[in-house]
Amino acid sequence: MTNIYKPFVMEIIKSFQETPDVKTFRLKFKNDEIAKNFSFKTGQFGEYTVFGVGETTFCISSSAFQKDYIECSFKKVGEVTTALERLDKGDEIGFRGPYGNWFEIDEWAGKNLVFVAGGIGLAPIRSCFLSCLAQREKYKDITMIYGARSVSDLVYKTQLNEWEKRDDIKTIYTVDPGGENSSWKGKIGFVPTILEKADPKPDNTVVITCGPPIMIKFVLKSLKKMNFEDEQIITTLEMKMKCGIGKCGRCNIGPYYVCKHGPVFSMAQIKDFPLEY
Amino acid sequence: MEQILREKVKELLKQKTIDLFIGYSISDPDKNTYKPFFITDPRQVDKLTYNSYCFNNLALYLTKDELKNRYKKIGLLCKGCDARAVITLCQENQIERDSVYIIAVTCNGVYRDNQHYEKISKDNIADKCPGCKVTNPPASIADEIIEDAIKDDKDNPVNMQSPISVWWENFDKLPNETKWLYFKAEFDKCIKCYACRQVCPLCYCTICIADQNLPRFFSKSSDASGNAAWNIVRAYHLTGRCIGCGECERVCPVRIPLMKINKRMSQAVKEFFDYEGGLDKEAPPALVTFKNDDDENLFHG
Amino acid sequence: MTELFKLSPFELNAWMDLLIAAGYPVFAPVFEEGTDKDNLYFKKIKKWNDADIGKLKTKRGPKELFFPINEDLFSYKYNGDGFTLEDPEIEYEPFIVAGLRPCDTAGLDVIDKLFSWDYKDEFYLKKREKAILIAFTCPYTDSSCFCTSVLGKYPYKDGSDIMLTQLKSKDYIVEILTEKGKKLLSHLNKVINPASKEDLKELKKELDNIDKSIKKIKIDKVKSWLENNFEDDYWKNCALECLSCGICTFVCPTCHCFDIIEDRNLDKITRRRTWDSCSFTDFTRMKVHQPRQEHFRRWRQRLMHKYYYYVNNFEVIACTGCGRCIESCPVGINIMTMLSEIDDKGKKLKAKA
Repeated sequence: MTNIYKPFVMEIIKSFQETPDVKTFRLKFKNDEIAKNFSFKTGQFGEYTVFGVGETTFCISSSAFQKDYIECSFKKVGEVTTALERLDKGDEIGFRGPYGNWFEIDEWAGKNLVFVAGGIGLAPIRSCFLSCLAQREKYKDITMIYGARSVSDLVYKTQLNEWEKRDDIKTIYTVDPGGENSSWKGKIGFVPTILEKADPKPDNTVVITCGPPIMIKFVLKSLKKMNFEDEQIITTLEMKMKCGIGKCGRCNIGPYYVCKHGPVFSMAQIKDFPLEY
Repeated sequence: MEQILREKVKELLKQKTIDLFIGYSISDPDKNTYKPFFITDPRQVDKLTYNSYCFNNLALYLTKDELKNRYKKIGLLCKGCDARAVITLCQENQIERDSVYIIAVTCNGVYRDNQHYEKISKDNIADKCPGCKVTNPPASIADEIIEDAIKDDKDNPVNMQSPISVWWENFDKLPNETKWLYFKAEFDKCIKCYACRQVCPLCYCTICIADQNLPRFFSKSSDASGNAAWNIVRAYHLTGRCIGCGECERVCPVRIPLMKINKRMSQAVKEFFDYEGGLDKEAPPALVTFKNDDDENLFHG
Repeated sequence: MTELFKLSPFELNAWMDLLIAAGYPVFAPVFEEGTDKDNLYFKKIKKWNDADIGKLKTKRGPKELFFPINEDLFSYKYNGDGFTLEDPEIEYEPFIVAGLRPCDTAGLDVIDKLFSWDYKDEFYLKKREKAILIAFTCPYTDSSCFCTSVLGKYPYKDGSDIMLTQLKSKDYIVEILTEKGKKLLSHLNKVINPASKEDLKELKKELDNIDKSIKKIKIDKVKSWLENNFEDDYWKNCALECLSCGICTFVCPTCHCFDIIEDRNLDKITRRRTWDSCSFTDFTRMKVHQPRQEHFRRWRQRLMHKYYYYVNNFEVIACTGCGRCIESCPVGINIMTMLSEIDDKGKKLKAKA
């Protein structure tokens, strides 16, 4: 039988401690056949099993064009992520996926892209960003605006540096006031403020944003001020999930299941959602 | 009595002494069922009713945030069980006595089910009722008493010996193994709908031990081990607190005899500490009070 | 296909016993031992006489035969080198569920859609495929029944393979509705009488009587009101007495929400699913955020899910009007009353517009 609830075993081939409570795992399928046939689209998510503890949901944070492995990043908050955090290179976890919809990166060809991320919200944005970079020639200007509470809360630090060095993309990094340290060279200020200062133009532009709800709320206000249309703003939502495939019945916002109709939504769609997320 | 009650509530609402009154109204006339009734408009008092089919323990609403935040002063119809719950909630600092206006009513016991009965008798009284000490709720807790005085009537079924105690007298003689098997089989039926918890006026924890996952104490699935754990943990949490309203057993969709457990635990507390829950607002609860002469046999089973 | 036959109670008895003898597991309403007389459950029977077909009002409906309270999804072990995962060993074989009411079969039709939505849930669907459903038209209805308001004209036939109706004469009219059903009839190895014209008249009369005994409420404006009034004050006031227990969802024939958990044993760990309920606070609680903290939000979710969200996704109302939630509610909340109220609001809204 095809068991839609049974995960595949993956091995952690590399582990990165991003911040004191955020970790990234690089994962590879144990079974070569499955590895060969596996593909996903950027923005999709998976269900990760810590054997003996349970399952948890988060996005795949690596590029969709990276065929050798996938990466996921998570913050230690609940039962499963706490157990997951204890694992390291060589350990095995279970993976089901990919599930949900994705960023339509091919439809954005010929456009300017502005990525706005806060905290761990960079994880889904990174997947999208890397996938776009993999076909850099398709797009016009690419801007990345990323902020975190403090310098130590910035994730993917090595990559942030690499991106900063590239001259075909524009990067703006910021930390909340008070979160800087003596060696911090980036900006100081909340993401929406920095976004307004960067002042991207709405013409032929798509904004992809993800972060804590409070940040999103003010980012949206700022974008409105800069005359962005709701259709131009894309985000990815989070709800509690168990099955990831539209069965267990908890991740709906109104009639929309985040696991099936989402997690990627345009602001035009979200505007019609009942306020329950 | 119903009429007096209605007048009283009308008056209280009109004078804004209370913002909300919780009593009973008929639910389904065909099935002879009654339900909790929330009333804020004095014009609605005619729907208020009270009789021996009014099973619910209304005290449970006092700890609900939705109501606490919305209504400053809540009027409550209290039969004995409800009054005992209110007393316990006061003892445990869960409610301010002043935020509640209590109309105490006499209760001759409630029926065991919703069939049509003429009068309460030993054949139709609920198992939890015989042996009840609060047919007239303790006057100390009431703001208002509507009495339907019960005379010391030997025939009144609440004066009978409790059938649950009778059952335990025999059951206690059995070997522990047999006793365990009996309850294990009962717990096996549990489907973890948590109605027992939700309906209990004393299960007011904001996050129940069953809902915690860091650490997780027992499995969420309704399997044998988790079921026994849940029901035993709940029994322990209620030991010395349970006021015997029997709501948990009434609502249980798989009919686990929870009152057998609760009554036995209460009996043990009575034997060891000479304490019964919910009778005296000022009394310190037995299981949070240490005395030098506490009977240690409790720990030897 | 519809073929109609007539069976005497004696023949029905013999037929069912023959099916059991032929090796079919047969599930039918049985009283739970040692409890009150109203605790009927679907259980496997050894002979037809054990079944109680007097009222057919089972406490929880047939949902759990297909979607059990606990169901193992897979198990795993650590073998020193890595984890090995194993599917549960289940053999799916044909089985019969007899003594369903038409609304019971309707409930299964509702959740079929969800479990076959996109990803096919074979745990459920395989059992569905193997099941043969024998429904009985209601020998008993009461004030909590409102199936015709949701499902239309009595009886709802789409979900059954065979439907039986007992006439005044105590004989049964057997309607064979599917090929699966027809196959079962062949086990009764004797000539059976097709229903006569007279019988059909009687049948119609009987069905009309049942139809008449069921309460009718209007619900056609419910969805349109729900769609537009998520933030209405009605929600905050409608179910103040609700306790947030899970009974209504557990007895509901269409509620299908579940949780996925690990069951840890010494030799192996099992991943299983277990019924969950939208009225529980931890249903949507994440570590940092709980979108349905207040209790009215959870209530609203249940009603919205049944009469709006599900209809949007699957074009069917996730309610069959069986009335189980009304009967089991510890505080007497009546969904029929609520639906009528909402329908009235919907009408007024329309009148205004």
